[in-house]
Amino acid sequence: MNQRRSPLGLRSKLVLLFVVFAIIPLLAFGIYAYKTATNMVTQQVSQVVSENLSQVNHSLDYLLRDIEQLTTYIYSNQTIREVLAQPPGRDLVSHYADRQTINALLDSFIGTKSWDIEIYILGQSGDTFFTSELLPEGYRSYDVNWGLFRKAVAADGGIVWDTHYATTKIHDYGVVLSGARMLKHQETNEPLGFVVVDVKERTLADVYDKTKLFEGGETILLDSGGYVVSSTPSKLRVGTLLNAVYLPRVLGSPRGSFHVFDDPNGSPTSTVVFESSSVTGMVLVNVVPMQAFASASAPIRTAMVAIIIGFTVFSFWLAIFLSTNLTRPIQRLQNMMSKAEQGYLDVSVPVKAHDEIGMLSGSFNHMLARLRNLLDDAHEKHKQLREAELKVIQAQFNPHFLYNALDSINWMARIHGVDEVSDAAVALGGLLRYSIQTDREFIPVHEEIQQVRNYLTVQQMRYRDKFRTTIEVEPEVLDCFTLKLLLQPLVENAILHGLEPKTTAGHLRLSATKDKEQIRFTIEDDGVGFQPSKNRPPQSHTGIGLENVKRRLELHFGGNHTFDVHTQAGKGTRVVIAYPIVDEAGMNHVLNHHR
Amino acid sequence: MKPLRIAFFACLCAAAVITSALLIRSGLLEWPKAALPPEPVNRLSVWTVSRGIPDVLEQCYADDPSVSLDVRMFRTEEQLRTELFAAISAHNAPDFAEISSLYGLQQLAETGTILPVHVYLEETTLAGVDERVQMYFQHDGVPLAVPYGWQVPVLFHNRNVVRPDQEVTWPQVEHLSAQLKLGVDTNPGTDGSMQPTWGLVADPQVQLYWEHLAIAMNGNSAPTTAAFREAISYWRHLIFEAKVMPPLAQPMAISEFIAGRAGFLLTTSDRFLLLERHIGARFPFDVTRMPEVTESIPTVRGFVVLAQGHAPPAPVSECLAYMIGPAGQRSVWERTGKTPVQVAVREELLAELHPSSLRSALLKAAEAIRDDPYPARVRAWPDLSNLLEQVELTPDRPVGSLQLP
Repeated sequence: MNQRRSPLGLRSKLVLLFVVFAIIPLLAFGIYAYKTATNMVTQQVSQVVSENLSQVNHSLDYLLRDIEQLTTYIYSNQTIREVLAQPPGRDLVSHYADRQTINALLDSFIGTKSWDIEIYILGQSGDTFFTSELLPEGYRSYDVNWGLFRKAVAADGGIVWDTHYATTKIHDYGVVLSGARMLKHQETNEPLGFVVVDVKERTLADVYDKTKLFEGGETILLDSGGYVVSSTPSKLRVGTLLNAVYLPRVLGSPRGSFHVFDDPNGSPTSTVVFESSSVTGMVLVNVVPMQAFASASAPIRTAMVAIIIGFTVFSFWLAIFLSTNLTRPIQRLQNMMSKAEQGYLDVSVPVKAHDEIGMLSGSFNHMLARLRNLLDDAHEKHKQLREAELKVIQAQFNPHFLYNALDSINWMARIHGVDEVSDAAVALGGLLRYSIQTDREFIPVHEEIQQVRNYLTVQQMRYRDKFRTTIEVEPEVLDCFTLKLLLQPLVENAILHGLEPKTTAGHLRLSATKDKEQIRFTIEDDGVGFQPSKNRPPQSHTGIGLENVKRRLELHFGGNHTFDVHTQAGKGTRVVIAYPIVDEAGMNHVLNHHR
Repeated sequence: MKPLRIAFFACLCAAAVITSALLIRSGLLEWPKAALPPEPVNRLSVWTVSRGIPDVLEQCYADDPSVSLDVRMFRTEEQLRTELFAAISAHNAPDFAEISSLYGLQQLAETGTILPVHVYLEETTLAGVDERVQMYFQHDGVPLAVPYGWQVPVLFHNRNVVRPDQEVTWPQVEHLSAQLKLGVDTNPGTDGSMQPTWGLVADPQVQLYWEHLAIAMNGNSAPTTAAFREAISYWRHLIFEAKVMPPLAQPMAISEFIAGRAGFLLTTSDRFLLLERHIGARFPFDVTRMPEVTESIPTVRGFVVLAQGHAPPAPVSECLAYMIGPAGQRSVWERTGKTPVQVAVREELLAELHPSSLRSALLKAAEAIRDDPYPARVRAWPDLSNLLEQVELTPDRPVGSLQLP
């Protein structure tokens, strides 16, 4: 059967299957791994930033504690107290001497510090001592109700911190944080003045510059109210309230991190990491743009793509390799089948493995061998059949000639009134006519019986009373079918080799019976019989002998028939033939079934 | 070997090579480090005393994250010098340090730790730098420092209360100050002006002003001792006879001027940034050269590169080249107030500025400097604090009894 072949072969299907089943998990794994790694990088960066912030906060706390300690030292310094306790309006000489003394003290305080800070000692009496180039107007006026001083008075000697909310221009190096403490008389506890320490923006920036700033990121120091004390790299917002949506979140928690979205439905634009100082309450905020994370995870993405490409190539190769190895025996088997289909039955599939494919190949080889044997058998049987048919045809020549001659004899005998001759000629003619009908292999039993009767008529003319015949055929057998010229050779054998040698008169009996499955013919005589092993009956002159009958039965019914010859010397011979009931329509079926 | 197996090994090898190459190229093994900004390769230490210089220095390496700059600011030049000598002794000196032309160069040169300029800068790099100021950093004819700017003594005035001539004289200063109702009313007027308390105030760099006063007294020639005595005498006159200048009020001078309590302020030219920032638009102010001084002694600022036992790293040279280049010089002017040493930059600034503006006047005032090294360095004044006390606290003490340089 010529089946249309699928456009995709088994190998291609296997390749596709392997590739799909390899690449899909690989892609899924790659995406998952990339996401995981990116999250890890994000967490790591956030953690690093957070640790940096903690460190910087500690540094800021340390700085502010140090400044606090400095003010404490000034607060408790006896010389400064004595100077500030001087009455107002003293002479210039005394004032100049005091200034020299206190300036020397202040220089010693901050001379060793690298911080950019300024110290102001503002006396209630109007004395001012400071390290700066100038005295800010707010300090000069000495108004105890002014912001920083008011807070210092409220603290009653404790340090207070205040930020400067005036917008500071970029590069102004302005003061962004001030610490103040009220100075008091040691004995009377009366206020003597204030010590103020101004911290410049650069001092704070130098501390938090240690936070590793990502490109595009910024670090902002906020006071507890959300005002920008200091920022880097841009200083434009210093002194202003931080204008950011995340401000409440930053002020509402001691530390944390979160993403910032410009578009609520979009991707985050930056990550904010913040931590507040437990000392000052100021909040250090580090804004890390997401691009920093993206660039940080870029090597991972590249590596992941490389791995996926590498493994895809490998998977592709593996799929080809495996599918080729798996389908090669099948392909080989299929090629062999194609050849066998074309008629080359001598092919053989090499069996290299004992797996299913190997077993299939072995079975195929076995099947081919059996098919070759069957075909050889069929060929041989066909050859024998043709030979038998050829012999039948050869035997038809004389009957044709004789039939015509007998027909002339019949008519001459009738004309001359010799009926016996006429009957013999008619019978002989029937015999001959029957013998030359070669178009049918199977004929009805009644025709075969008639043929036997014709034959016996002829033989009766020859042998006269030498033997008598009895033909007993069950009526239901008559319409069954039998092989043509099956019975006549047997009857001929019985006459020629059984009855003729007998010195007395003999008896030939032919019977046909039928049971459920078989038709049974029995030809028996009471002739001389023969020794089956030594004295096989010779073939008749017509060439159709017992052997021929037997071979024809085997040819048509295989082993599903009976051909028994029972003979006994001096007593006669009985031949029994039995074969399955054959109707003409089912003849082929019977033949194929038994083949 | 079958073609399929050859293809297999080829594919496997190619996949392995490609994967390995991409892994190495992407630096996957170092991804935790890659997550952070790169660590700087060059760490440079700089000591400076001028405000604004750290910002200029940072601009040198703004685009180069491989350089980390450690800037140490000193409050006074004396502190820087003291620390620098100690660091040199301890072999812990910075890569480069700021220096003034007034003092310190000779002592540093004697330590043998200063690298000549030609070691780290091409001669062409210095082309365009005002040759007059280069001379101030020469020692035995060898340039030892790279100048980046200078300042000169100038006289600022509150234009709400005084309007001196462009070529102002001391008598005019005294006269205009005397006309003010000094100390009458310190409250702001309705027009925002404030009646000054003093006619003239001077910041603590008095030795510089005495020096220039002495030069003026000597007809703009190198001052003699007599000229110094005359200068001190006139200083006393301003305080005790004309009563236009307060005694021993130098620390408050700038504060007084900013607050509108002084008509004139004697200070250096680089202070204009401070004044602009604090005065803002409260009152107009202008500047002239120090009275009667035709050529000032510039206080030239520059950097010395200290020998570290090896050639100075490239970033040091690059940074110094930047500082005397056009961009750096503009930055020096904008952030430190110092007069650019690049002639071309000064000319460009003058062309850009309005001729009557304060900055234009400052550039012009600073332009007139002495082109001879003398007096390149301020003489060693004996205990200035003590001398100032003697001058301003004891008006009866004869000037001749003062120990002057």
